[in-house]
Amino acid sequence: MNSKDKANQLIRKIQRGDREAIGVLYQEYRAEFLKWSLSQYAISESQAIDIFQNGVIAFYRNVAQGKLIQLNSSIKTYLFAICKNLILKQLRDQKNTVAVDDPILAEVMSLDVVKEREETHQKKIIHRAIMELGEPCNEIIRMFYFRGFAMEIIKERMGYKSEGVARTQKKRCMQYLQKLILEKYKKELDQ
Amino acid sequence: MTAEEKYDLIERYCNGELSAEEEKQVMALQQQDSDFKQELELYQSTLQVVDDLVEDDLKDYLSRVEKDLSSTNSKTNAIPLQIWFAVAASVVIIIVFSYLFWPTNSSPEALYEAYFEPYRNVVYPVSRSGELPTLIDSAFNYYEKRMYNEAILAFERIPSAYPTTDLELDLYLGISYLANNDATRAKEILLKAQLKSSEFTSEYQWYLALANLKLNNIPQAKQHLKSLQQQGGATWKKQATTLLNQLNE
Repeated sequence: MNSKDKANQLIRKIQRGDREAIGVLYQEYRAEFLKWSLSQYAISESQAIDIFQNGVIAFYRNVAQGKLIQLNSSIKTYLFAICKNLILKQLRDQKNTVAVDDPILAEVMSLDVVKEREETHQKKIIHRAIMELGEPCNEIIRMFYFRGFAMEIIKERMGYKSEGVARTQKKRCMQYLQKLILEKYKKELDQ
Repeated sequence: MTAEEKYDLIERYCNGELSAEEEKQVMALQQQDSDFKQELELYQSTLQVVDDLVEDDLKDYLSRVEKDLSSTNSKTNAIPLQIWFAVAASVVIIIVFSYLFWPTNSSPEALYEAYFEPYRNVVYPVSRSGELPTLIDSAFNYYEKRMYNEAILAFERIPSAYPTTDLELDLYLGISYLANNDATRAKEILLKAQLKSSEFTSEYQWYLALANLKLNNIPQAKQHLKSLQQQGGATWKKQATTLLNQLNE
């Protein structure tokens, strides 16, 4: 299998919700990434490990959410470019200026690689509502992560007969979650 | 447009599946229909929370993979081949001793290590703007960066009269102590604080179970896990049941 086929096979696995696939990816390129990044940049080993983990997650996110549907280069080239982007961001944050001259890096820049988290009161309530959801909704809501692929994954994981059933169940869970969220808001107002 | 059609439009919009024409329709609806706008925002925020939850799980998973790799690497790197022959005779003795005295996979210590993960900051949005950070900003900032000594100092300096009743500061203070390997102090704080909290009962039960596990108080740890099984939501129940089963092995 050539490197492009291998990359596209990995993409299909991620689109089907296979988490183990990134464990394999992580193990395959970790040592090489550490060697490369530590020789190229002034970062510590623990920083490099953290960056590599975030890079693998960013790769997974972009595939799982349909922003990256096929690779024109090898997985390694792509993954290292994502990680390089993360390293540059970290160095920039440390007030070092770094020029971007790498074509793959420029391509990666357009992806959702650096994700800033923002906690709001509303998100706090949603988080708690999800934690309180019973099954199967708890599992189904988490599959919303896979955006357009979610229906297929829900159908397979939950053993539903058709996508129609999965669609109905998915919608029902979202409605139930919304009800829980509204109840929580109401409870807060009453207090 | 029916409620059903609106929901489908929102879902497909968030999945990035709309045509240019449909996207325009969404923009227009956002301006004309406040219920639609609210529903869309709720859906988007839900997706963000789901993303954070799933990615926290992924990060934990990769950290476990990393831990396994590092321990395998250090074992293989640290012991040259000749030494293997030299210690061959001792292997049997080591195995016997390991079995008797070393923490096994289901020893309280090993289980604690496997399960303890600082709870995500779900209470306080840390300000990352240029403004002067408040003490609470600093406390949660340190907490998120896993700098627990600093987090403890900051949390403890927040005056008790400060209007932060909904922030569960003591939950995060307790977890910071636990992360700093001071399970005794963590337990004291969590026990006292759980009486005042009505909303975070499950979180307190879980971390009290872990603090007791760390202190080798297995019956108490089990008691907290059993309460969690009875009162907690599905995620907590699942987590509590798995840990209880491992403790009972």
